[in-house]
Amino acid sequence: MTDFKRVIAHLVVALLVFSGTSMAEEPRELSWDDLIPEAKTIEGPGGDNPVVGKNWNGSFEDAFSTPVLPVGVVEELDGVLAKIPGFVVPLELAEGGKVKEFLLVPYFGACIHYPPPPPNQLVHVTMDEPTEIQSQWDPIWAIGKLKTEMKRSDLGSAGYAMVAQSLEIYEY
Amino acid sequence: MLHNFVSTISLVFKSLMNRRGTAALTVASIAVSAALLSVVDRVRTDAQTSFANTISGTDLIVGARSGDLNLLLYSVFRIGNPTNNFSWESYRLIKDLPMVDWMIPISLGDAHRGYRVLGTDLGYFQHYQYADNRSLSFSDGAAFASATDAVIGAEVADELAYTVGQQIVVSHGVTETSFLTHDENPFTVTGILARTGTPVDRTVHISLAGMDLIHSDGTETPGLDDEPGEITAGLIGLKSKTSIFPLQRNINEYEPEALSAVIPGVALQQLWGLISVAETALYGVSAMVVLAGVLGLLATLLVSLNERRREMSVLRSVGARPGHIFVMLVSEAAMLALSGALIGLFLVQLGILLIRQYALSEFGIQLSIGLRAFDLYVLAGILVITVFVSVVPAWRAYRNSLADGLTVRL
Repeated sequence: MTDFKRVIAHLVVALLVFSGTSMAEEPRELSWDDLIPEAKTIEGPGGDNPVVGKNWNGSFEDAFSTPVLPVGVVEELDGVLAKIPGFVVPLELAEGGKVKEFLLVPYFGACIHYPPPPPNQLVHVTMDEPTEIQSQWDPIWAIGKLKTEMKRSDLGSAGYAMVAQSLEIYEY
Repeated sequence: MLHNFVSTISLVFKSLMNRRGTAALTVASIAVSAALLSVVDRVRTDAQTSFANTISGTDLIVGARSGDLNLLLYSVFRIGNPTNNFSWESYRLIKDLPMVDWMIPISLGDAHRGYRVLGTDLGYFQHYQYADNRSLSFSDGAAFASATDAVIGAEVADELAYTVGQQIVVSHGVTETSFLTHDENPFTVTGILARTGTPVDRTVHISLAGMDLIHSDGTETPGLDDEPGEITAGLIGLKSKTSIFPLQRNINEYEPEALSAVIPGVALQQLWGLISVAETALYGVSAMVVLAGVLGLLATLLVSLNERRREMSVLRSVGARPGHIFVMLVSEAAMLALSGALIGLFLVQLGILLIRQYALSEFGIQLSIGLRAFDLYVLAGILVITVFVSVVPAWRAYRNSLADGLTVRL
């Protein structure tokens, strides 16, 4: 009986170790829905991130009002080695026009028919090595350690950051 | 084996020296083609680097409604002219939004002896960043303290030999000569900025109040903090990158005034996309020139074979086998190609050394010196192609020497 238990224990340990190492090597594939915490939306003024300017009613202040947004981040994703698909909106360029810092977004950034992505639907990516990105219209996979960012204890501006080790071409 | 190789090479070299005229021309054509390919790549990457290095740390650029590229080009690179100004009220409104960390006002439209004059406030010297988040610094003097003070870029100071204390006059319009000068309001240089390798070096900075002063009748001198009616553009730094899209959308849809906000990195990538067509064409043409150079080498070798039959016979008579003749011709081609490519790459370095200053002051492109990976590819590529095609004349020579033996029937 004790032998049996020991075997089981060994198996469990082996399984844990195995899954542990495989997680360290294999990045976890995340979808954009995985980045939204459940049932967390706020109404009214969106703090530092008001959206939508069509509601103009003649006053400067109201021009920057906001609709309902899913806000906040999934804290469990902090530190996870993730693989997320998306489009690149370049922020900082390095020598030879390579991209050093960009925003990863779920849909192409310049779509003017749709509200801009809320903070938890974009990832601020810093590249380990500046990388050449051919086109803004071609999606990529960004692979790296995810970090949740909660700035100034403001739920509305919480978002994700990532230090990317590599980028891969996204194949449809 | 090594001895064999060395003696073959020295034989090839001596043979080439005997025909130094045609050999030199062949080397020259290879050199020109290698240089062309190397230059095209260098100018492309250096131009992109220079553009990318001009702006850093700015999240959004705001201006009157226009295209992304247009706004970026005139506000940061001083290329082209602004379409319109926008009101100071809109500037204040955006600057005071909670997500905005800093905002630099920019007012353009005038010049001093061909150098653009830029009206701004003290925030410019504090927040403007270039090349990897480097800030501006003064090599001499300090920022403006009154409405009639000016801060000049490093190149303006060098070219016009200005020092701190110099009185300058600003003219209307952006060309070297203008028939409307605001000479009733001279400015005093109070500071010179350290060299940045960006358009900042070629800019004369004055305060917004100074900008208003040169467009007023000049009867009263305004204070440094007097507010202007309108400005041309604004550079925005945000507290969090997550606010970029919402703020950009709000500015673009802002109804009291037609404004545009662009993300500098996005506009730069649009620029790459625009010029990539021309780049591809240039690479294609250069590759063709390399091919033409190598084909020229092939033709010269083939033509020379007939008149060198006697040379081959002599070599055969002293013990060279047909295989030796084959190896000799391939190494001859390789030697021509290698020296041609090396000379070409050397010429590129020399040329860059010569036009460096001109490219920087005229186009704002900082050309770099030194070999790059691409140069080595050019070298290896030319060598491999040449060795490959030289098999044709080598094979002919091999056949000839088999048929001719020691006697040549000419």
